Amino acid sequence: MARSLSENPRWYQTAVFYEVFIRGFFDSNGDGIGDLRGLIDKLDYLEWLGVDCLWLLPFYSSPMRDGGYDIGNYEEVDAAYGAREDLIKLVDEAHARGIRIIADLVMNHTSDQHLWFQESRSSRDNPKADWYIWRDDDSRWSEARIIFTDVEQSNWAWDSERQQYYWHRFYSHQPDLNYENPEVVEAMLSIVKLWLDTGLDGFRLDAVPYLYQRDGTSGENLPETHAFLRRLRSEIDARYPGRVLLAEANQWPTDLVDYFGASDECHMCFHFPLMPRMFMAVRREQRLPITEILAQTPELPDGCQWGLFLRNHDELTLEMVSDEDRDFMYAEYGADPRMKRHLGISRRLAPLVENSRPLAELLHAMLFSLPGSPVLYYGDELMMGDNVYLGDRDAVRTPMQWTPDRNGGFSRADFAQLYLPPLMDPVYGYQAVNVEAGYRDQGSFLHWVQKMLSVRRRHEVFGLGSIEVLPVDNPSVLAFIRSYYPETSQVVKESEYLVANPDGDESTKLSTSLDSREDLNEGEERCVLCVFNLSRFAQPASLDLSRFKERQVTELLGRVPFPDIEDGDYRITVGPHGFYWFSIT
Amino acid sequence: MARITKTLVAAIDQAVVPYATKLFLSNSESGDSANEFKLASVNSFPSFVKGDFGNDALFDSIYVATLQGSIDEVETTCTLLVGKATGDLAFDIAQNNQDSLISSDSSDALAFFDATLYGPTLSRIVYSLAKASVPEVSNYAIKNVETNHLGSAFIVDGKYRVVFYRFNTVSQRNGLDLIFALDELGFNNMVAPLARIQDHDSNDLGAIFDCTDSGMSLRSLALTSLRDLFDLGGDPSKAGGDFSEESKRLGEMIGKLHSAAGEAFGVFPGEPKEWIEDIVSRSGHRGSKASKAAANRCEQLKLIENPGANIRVHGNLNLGNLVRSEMGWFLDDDGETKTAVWSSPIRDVSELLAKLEEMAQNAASERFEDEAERAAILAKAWVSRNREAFLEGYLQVVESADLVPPDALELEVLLNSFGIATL
Repeated sequence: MARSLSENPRWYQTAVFYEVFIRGFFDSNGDGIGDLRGLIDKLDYLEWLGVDCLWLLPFYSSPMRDGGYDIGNYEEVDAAYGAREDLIKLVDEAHARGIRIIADLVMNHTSDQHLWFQESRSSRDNPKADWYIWRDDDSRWSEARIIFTDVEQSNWAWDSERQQYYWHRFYSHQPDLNYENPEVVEAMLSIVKLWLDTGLDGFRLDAVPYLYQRDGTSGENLPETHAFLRRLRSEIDARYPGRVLLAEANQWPTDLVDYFGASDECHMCFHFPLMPRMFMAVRREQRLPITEILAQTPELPDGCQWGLFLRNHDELTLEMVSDEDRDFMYAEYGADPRMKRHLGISRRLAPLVENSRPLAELLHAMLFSLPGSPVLYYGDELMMGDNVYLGDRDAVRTPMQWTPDRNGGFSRADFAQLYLPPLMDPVYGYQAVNVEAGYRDQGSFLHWVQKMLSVRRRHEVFGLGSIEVLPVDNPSVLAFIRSYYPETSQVVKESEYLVANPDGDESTKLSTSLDSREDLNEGEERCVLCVFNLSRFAQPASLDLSRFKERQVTELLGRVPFPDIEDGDYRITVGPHGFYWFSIT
Repeated sequence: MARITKTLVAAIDQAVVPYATKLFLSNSESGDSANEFKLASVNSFPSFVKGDFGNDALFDSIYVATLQGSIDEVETTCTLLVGKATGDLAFDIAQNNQDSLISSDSSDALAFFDATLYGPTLSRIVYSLAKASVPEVSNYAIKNVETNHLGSAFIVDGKYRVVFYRFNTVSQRNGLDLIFALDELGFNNMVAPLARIQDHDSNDLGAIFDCTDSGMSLRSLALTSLRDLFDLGGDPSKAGGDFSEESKRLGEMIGKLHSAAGEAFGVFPGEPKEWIEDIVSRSGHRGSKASKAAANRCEQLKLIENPGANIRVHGNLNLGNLVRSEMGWFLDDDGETKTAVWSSPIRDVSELLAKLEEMAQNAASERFEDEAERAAILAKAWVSRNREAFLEGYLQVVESADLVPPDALELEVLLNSFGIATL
């Protein structure tokens, strides 16, 4: 029996997401560009890895000046990726493997090649004249910050055809839609329904804070934007229960939480400020950057969840750190000026940690156990590298490395035909770093990630539990307790299932046998203690576990019994960049 | 309430004087054993300590023994909570809880014990003290944080920190005056004081603070930074564990502390002459040569035109009581300061920077022998960078309050002069 799709409408609270750049994942037709059929071919691998939901970067028809975030036609799949039928097949095949699929949706802006914009710019009185934001001068809304400060000087761009300025928060070839116009709102809602009808499980909403503008404001997080999101959510809840909206809003946690509304806007939001602080904490070898932002993170409304990530298709964004911390991060992680993009660092995880396996494990262990649903970026499970010499954010969008064969097994096309060259350097190149090699080697990082995900799956507390950061005088040690009281319906039952190996030609029996003491007693508090050593040296820690006196401590990965908690003061030593996950029963 | 008879007083006298003398020795810098404490009075617990302790029979067997003596030529009052146990309890204490035993008879049928060291009575005492001051205390969840010759500290309910002092050199604890005055002014970079525990003559016996035990000490954070630098070497500004931003924030916090102290107790013209006396006197413990050197070093202090202000300073800032939590730096002070110190605010600053420097040098000297020289150079660079950052943060806050010399050279003279007393 293959893994089945969870029926829990709040599946996203315990899910592990995997971000797929279709263009770079697998090329099924040999044209040098990854496609939807290629992704279908690799679903067995993703099932084996143990992810629950794929997040597809934009697959809509696009001139591809911004990786597909410049949508040229909302209603069509880009021909390079396939057709709508391919998407439907992908969704069906993924669902059959217990994997859901959400897709990126860029609502804030379109490409300047979109027919809507072409019509809008053609005159001042055409039917779509007000679908975008036009002005005769470029002085309005000067309080709104420029996001891509390194390439754009203004949020207004001159259009010689219409002889007016148009508003754009991102690249000048991405004009913002005018949501003050009810026709735009209705058109976007139609687009949403069109794609949900294919069976998609939701959307990652790109750049949501910027939908509306208002004089005298930064043009971010406005009430009008939230009202639109409530409308969108109610339409989805009414017709498409169990689908999810994941907001991309690069804001402070206190502003971010507004995007959940009263559980009536987005189901999930990315926790942007946490990510750079995880890197900062390991470099500083002390936990304050993480615990400070956790202390500022408000409680989630019922049924909501954070999306956590280490790396994604964009730069390691430093918008949500102080100027001093940004300087520090540039100095530590972006020494080569080519690595700096916009307000961030364009690097993949492995080069960021100088290919240190212990550090990569430490960061992933934190990612998998901090409150939220982890989002992996394709290739990071292999410790893939990047190519900072490629333009813009292409540095981190090189082809997935499947085998040591031609083009890393990504495509049968001529090398010159590939959308981007695969990595070929001796350290990160596909000859050394690829899925096939990782799968063969039981000690590989790939197997480690797969093992961690299988352990995480058995403990819903990682997705549903509250967090309590423990006081530890040793600054290099981060310790917290995740705990929750499960409802009867949420208790995971023992099960066995078969999953194919990455090649899809044989099946492996996996058991999710649960610890009877811990997981099968309904109504009992589930507690997991997580301890991380952020330092490259072994560290001692004394943890105040007095509220768990006389309870048993078991290490989760090996089910190793540790000494019971006797007097409440629990002393442990954690190896360099080491970590423990303990169940407390 | 139990009657205090002459026989009881005599028995307590016989038991506690040797015990208190032993405590006194451990608290003495000179280790002079000639001095001995004398029992001054014995009181029942409820009649001595302010508060409503209800009808708890426990307190009938606990007495407050007040002893007097001198520590390093300073007249000192010592307050001990003495428990009297008979029967099985006496046997249990004598046989199984010797740490708390003061004395017992030959058959272990009667024992006097230190009630702040014996768990079952201790928890009730602390709970009652806390409950008397903070009524919402709900149960007996008490955790002992520290007990030593100076006193004891406990966490009650995970919410309150109760401190109970043993030694009182003055009738009122000046450290507590400072803390409560700062609190009243809204200085919130500090563990909030909630209540004073006093006897019926309003002498301070202890205090209750808000419990914030999630911080990391300045020492542990600074050592983390140094460890990184020692391992990788190079310019401290480039090190991953660079501490300068924290130093700057700490400087800002100390600046706010001094501004608030000035507001609470007044800002008066600086008195370099008295400062010099203080510096020379404090250098004295290292011998007359050190005093002389200090006096010479202070010569420049006499020439200063604008020495800044004389304020009520903290007097005992150190690497342990400055703590960083998620909310920033705060002062974790339980009022242990023995006397009020009036001086230049630079006294606190210098003292702290000197302690930081000493810690860095010690950390360097603890490296392997072949690394020590390199580590010492790195430590020096680390100290220099963090001193600069600390002063930047500090001066940003205090400059407008006229607390320190506006002239950079004169400020440096003050820093150097006060610094020598701490070395």
